[in-house]
Amino acid sequence: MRLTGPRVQERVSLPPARTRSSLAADVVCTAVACAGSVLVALALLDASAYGRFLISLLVR
Amino acid sequence: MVPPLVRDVLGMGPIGAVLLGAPVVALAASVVALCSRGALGRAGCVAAASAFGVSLVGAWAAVHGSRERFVESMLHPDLASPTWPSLTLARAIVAEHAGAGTALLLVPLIAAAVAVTWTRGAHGLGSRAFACGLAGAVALPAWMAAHASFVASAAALSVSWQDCDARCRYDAAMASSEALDAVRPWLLVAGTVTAAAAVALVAIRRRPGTARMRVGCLVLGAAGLIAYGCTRALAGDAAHPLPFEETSSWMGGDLDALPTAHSACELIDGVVVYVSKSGVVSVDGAWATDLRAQLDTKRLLWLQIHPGRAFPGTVVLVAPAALPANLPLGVLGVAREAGYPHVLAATAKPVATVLSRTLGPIARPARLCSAPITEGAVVGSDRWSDRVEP
Repeated sequence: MRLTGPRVQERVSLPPARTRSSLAADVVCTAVACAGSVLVALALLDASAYGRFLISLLVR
Repeated sequence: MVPPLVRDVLGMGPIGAVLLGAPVVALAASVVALCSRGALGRAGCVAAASAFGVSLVGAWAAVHGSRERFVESMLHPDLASPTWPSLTLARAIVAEHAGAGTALLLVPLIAAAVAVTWTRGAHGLGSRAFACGLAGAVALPAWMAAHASFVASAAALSVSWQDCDARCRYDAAMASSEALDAVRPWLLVAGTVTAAAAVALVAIRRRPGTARMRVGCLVLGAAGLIAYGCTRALAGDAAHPLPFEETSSWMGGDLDALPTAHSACELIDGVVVYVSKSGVVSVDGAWATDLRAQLDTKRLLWLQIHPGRAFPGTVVLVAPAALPANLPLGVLGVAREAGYPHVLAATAKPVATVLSRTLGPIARPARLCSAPITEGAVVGSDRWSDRVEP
């Protein structure tokens, strides 16, 4: 059955429009997060390689 | 040629095939999700997420299994020597590789967390599946690198320890550690790919990120900078391990009296002939009444103990630096006649201090070394130290 009559104004909460500046901020923040994760991984790798120095101390 | 990773994993049976195929499925799912602009069906999302999970399990299994094999090879009974700190060494190397494994697993995990956070609510399940699949696919090179590192380590350290002296073991440990450096490019590639994908996902996102998301990203970046900065001293020392120098078994006198060693310290194994200040000669600590006869006896004994092997014929001549050169040179002539073609002079490397970034100055004790002898005439001096090549 089709409803007829006055049109019901429906309020729809639309998401805020994305501006160029917000896009740039999002991209920068994402890049920073990814760089941070890679830096954490590199730091772990370097800390692991420290075993090489300990071995050189032990074997002498 | 089948790569070692594929061969080893397929050797695990059906489970190995699943572990090997999971990253491939994850990669395929992420490609499909990308091509369908995030409209991957529910079944596809489940497949991508499952593949991601199996990829991580596979990576963990490979690292864990390799580490177990590594520990087994390190704790071989042949290593139980009082002169070799086997347990300490094993602990150091295992800790080293456990850290590498953690680092390799951390990258896809963090990447997945970042990507899933940013894609929440943007394109529904499809985007999140894409993020999971991509992170799972990134786990593949990390997995391969970790496996290759462990295999190289186990191969380097599974040498026949009975025929491996301290130098050989030091070289093996350094070689295994250098295999760790091969992981770094893989990490950078994985990080770059993941970063590019995450940025692309953010760029196609319809809604701007919330303040909480941005703060979280900046915190992660700051944590990375702090962690990287805090490990620079460790990295600096790891890049410059102490050079190998053999310990001396000769305790026959004051090292300061010997000629000074200028080049790299290397002690050759051989018969030790000591010439005292007063010209008294002793062989391996025993007073030599007849040097030629004693050297002959040692040579014959060596040939009996090592049948079929070539006699090395090496003599290490220990004499004070200030001693007139004619005394040690006389010993050198007798040694040559007794079948010892290689005669080297014992030298001493003075006490040195190595500056490390983590432990500060490390004192290195004086060491007994060896150096070739100049037999020709030396103008203006007749001291023994002038006959030792710098």
